Amino acid sequence: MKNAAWGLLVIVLIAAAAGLYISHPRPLYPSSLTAHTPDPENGKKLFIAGGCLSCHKPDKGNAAADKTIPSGGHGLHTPVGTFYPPNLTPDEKTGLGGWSQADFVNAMKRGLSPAGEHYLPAFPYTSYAAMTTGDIRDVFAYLKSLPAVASETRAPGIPLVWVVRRGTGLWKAVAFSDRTYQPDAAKGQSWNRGAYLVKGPGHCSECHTPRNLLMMPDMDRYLAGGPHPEGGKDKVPSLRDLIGRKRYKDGKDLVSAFQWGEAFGYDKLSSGGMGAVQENLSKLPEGELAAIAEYLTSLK
Amino acid sequence: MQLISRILRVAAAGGIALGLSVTAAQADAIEDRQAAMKDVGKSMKALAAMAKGEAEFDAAAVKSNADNIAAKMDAAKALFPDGSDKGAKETWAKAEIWTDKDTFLAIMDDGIAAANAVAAVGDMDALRPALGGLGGKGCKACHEKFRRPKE
Repeated sequence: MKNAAWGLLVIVLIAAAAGLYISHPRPLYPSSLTAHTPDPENGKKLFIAGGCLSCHKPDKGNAAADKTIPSGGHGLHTPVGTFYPPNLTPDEKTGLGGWSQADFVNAMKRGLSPAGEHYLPAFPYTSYAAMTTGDIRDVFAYLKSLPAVASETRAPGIPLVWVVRRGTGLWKAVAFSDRTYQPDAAKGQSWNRGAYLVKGPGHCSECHTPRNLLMMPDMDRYLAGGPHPEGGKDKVPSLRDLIGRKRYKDGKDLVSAFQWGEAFGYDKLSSGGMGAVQENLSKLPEGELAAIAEYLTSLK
Repeated sequence: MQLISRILRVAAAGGIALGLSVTAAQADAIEDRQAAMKDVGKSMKALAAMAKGEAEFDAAAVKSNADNIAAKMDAAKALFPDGSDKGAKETWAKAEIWTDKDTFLAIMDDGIAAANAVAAVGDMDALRPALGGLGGKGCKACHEKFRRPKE
C-alpha cells in the first residue's frame, strides 16, 4: 500500500512537471524579426478587416471617449466570464506605448503578453497567427500612429485566471499553430487573398466553425456554422454553399451585401453581432471584398 | 353540489377555449408579422434594384414601395403582443422585444419615419442616402438588437 501511494505521488509529480513544461510560454526571439519598412496604411486596412475596434472600443457609458479609437473598456461577455479587451492606443502607461514590435508579434502570432503570459483565446490570435509577420508589424505601425489615450484596462472577470492561463498553455500545445497562411498554388491570386483575409485577420472561423470536445475547431465542418460565442441557444450560420443554398446570387451579390447591408435589403448581416462586422467590411476596398467573396462562394 | 360542479365544468371549458384562442392569436401574430416583414423585404429589394442601377429609377415606384414599407412596419408594431415570443411557428424574435418594448417601438417609429423620407425621394442621387437611413435606422438597428441570427 505504501509503495502504491509513493508510486501515485511520483506519477502526479511527473504529470504536474510535464504540464508546467508543456504550458510554459515560448515567445519568439526579437532577433528573429528581419528588416521591415512598416506601412501604416496597410495596417489600417488589416485593422478594419480584423474588426479590432469592435472588441477594443471604449465602453458605451464612456460618453467622452472617441468611439473610433481602440482605447478599450467595452466588456466582452462569454460563457467563461467577461473580458475587457485592452487599450491599443500608444499610451505609455495604459496602452501599447511601451511595447516593442516583438511584443506585438508575440501577442498576435504566439498569443503571449509582453510579460510572457498566455492570452486567453477570446483574443483570436488563433486566427491572427496565420497573418504574415510583415502585416502584423504594419498593424502595429498603424496603432502607434493613433493618438495616445489613457484608459486603464480592467482585469477579466474570470475566476482563477492564473490556472486558466496555464490551462490555455496546455490547450495551445495541442490546438494551436502559429503557421502563416500558405497560398494554394492551384488557385488564383484573388482566391488566395480571400482565404488569407478570412482565415487570418478576418478570423471568421472563430465563430463560424464548430468546435470539438477539446474546443478545437472541427475542420471537417470548417465554416459550417456553430453555437453562438455568447452562449445561449443562438446559432452562428454556415458560410458553406452560400450560392447553392440561395443565400446570395453570386460573388458580386455577396460583395454588395458586405458594402451595403440592410440599406440594400440584405437582412442576414445584422443579427448576432454581424452588424458590426458588416460595418467594418463596408470600409474595405472593393477588390478585397471581391477576394473574400470569391473564396467564400467557392466553399461547397 | 351539482350546481357548483357544473359551474366549474363550464368555467374550465371556457378557460380552455380562452387558452386556445390566445394560442391561436399568438400563432397568427407570428405568422402575420413574418408575412409583413417578408413584404417589407420585397419592397426593399425593388428599391435596392434601382439604387444598384439594375432597374430604371422610377419616382412613382419608389413612393409606392416606401409607402408599403411604412404601412407594413406600422402594422407590425401591433403584431408582437405579450406571449407571442414563442408559438407553433418558429420565431426569431428575441425576448428583449418584450422586456424593452419602448426601445423596440421607438426603432420601429424611426424606421417608419425613414421610410417616409424614402417615399419623398425625387431623384437617383437622393435614393442611396435615403435607403441608407432606412436600412440603418430601421431594419439594421432593430435586427441587431431584437432578432436572433437565422441559421
